[in-house]
Amino acid sequence: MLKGPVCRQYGQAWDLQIMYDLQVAEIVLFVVVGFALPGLGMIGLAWALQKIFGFHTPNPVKNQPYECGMAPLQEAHLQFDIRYYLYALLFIVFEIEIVFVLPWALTTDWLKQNLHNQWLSPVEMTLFLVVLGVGLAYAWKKGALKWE
Amino acid sequence: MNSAVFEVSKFARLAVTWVCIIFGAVWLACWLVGVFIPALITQAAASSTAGQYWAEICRALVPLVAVAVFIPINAMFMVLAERRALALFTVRKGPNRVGPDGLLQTAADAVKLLFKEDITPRGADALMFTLAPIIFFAPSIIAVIPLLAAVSGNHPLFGIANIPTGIFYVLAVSSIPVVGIVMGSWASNNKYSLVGGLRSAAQAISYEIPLVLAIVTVCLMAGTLDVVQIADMQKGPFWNWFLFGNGALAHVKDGPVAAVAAILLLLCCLLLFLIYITGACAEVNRIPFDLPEAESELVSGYNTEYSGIKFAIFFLAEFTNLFVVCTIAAVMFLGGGHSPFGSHVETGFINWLGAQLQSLPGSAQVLSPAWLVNSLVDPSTLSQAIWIILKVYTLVVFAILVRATLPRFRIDQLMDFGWKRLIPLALILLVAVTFLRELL
Repeated sequence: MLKGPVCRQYGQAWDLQIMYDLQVAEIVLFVVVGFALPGLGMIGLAWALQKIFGFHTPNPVKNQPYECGMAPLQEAHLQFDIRYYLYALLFIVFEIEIVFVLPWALTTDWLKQNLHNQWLSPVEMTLFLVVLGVGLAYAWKKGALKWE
Repeated sequence: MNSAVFEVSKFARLAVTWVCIIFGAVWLACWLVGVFIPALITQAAASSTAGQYWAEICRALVPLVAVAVFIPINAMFMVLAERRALALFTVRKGPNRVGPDGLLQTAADAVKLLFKEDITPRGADALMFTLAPIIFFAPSIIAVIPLLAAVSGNHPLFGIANIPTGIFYVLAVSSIPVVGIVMGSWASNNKYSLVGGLRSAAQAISYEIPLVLAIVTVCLMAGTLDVVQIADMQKGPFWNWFLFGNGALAHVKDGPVAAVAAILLLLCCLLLFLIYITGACAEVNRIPFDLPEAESELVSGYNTEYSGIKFAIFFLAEFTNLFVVCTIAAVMFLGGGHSPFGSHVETGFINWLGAQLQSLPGSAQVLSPAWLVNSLVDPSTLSQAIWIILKVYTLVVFAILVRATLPRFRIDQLMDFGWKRLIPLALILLVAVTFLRELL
């Protein structure tokens, strides 16, 4: 069994596997409730009301997509230019970096106590972040962060 | 001048009334499901295992019931508060017809939107068009549940809501709504919507990173992801909050190096809070970052084609998201439910109220009137709830004030500010905090 900060809070009585299973079960429950409330409780209710009272009367003019009162010139499902393609690539890098930083942030105190060197873990993370920072600076210099 | 004071006092009265309604309703619902019905069950099925089992199930439902009651009422209040506050800032009356002093305006709006015809535009993808508001709203509900544990001061009834990866889970969930926006904007077959959805995606990916980095830095100082533990670490007077460096100023006396480090840490934490608030404003599409629904350019942005209940869901979700980010800020930076003046006042109040409740005659007998009062009022949860309500709604009013003050960004300014200012600053602050902690 791991003896890190993750387990510290729960004492030794909790098996990590039980804790993990419990958490997954809780999250599944939350997700079910989260989707049921707007899905069944609101849209379902409104749909039932429409069925009962019958105020759903579509017609071609009403269903026309809004474009400042004129008939739309063409469909909106057209090819379009995503201006933030490079931003999206950078975003993936940074988002994964955050996933790496989080476990480090939680274990840094534990590392300090067990490695008897308080500077080791900050310096390691600084090196990691400097590599990322250089990457960001390179992208900046190359003009990837320019909105055209 | 007098009329301004009068208007402000009317707004304050309205806010206090609504907050009492919201939290009274949630409190009563939790008490019914968590205390009263289990007590009835155990009384009826006297100490049989089946009775105990069902009573436990009923108690476990408390967080879910609390969310189901809380979210619609809270969003209704926040919409009304925003409209009234904006009216105050621009010297107008605001909605003041429905109910006493406009109190029921948004309740009436909710009923109206529920009965409105649901229009699906021609050429729209009906399934995605219906799913989009659900996917937009669901994450904010899912994210509120773990925060409830911190809001209630880790009340035993909210034990199920408190998951060990708390804040990580909340952050992961609260980045989903943008998927709903993009789905809805693409499905509605409208060019304004499409542009709004694309802007929303660009904005979400830019401001997610500084926001999460600010939270990660707080987690680094706290050493845990559990929202309840993070709130408990900030117990005591306000300089123990993470906003003020979690007690860093106490180290000022420990020599020159520690003093400088402590003051720098304090500055870093203040900056982190600013980064968080900026990122949060952008994440929930508030002015000055409301490009996805810039009404002067894009009609209404991603929800142009929505009407009736689907539009209402988008609206509710926006305000619930605002509430979620403000609650995260209150828990992570502003000490959660703990009093800013140290715990003396709090403890005194809790002990006094507890003693009063204990001295009620016959409170040991289940289902007697005294027992009802005793089980309904929980002094420590009450004090935690009052403080966190104050903190969260102060932040909400601040967000409304920002909306009334600032103009909208241009999209290139928005991206530049996110990528060239906030992200480098957040990275530097993370490294700085890492080293400054070691110097204390």
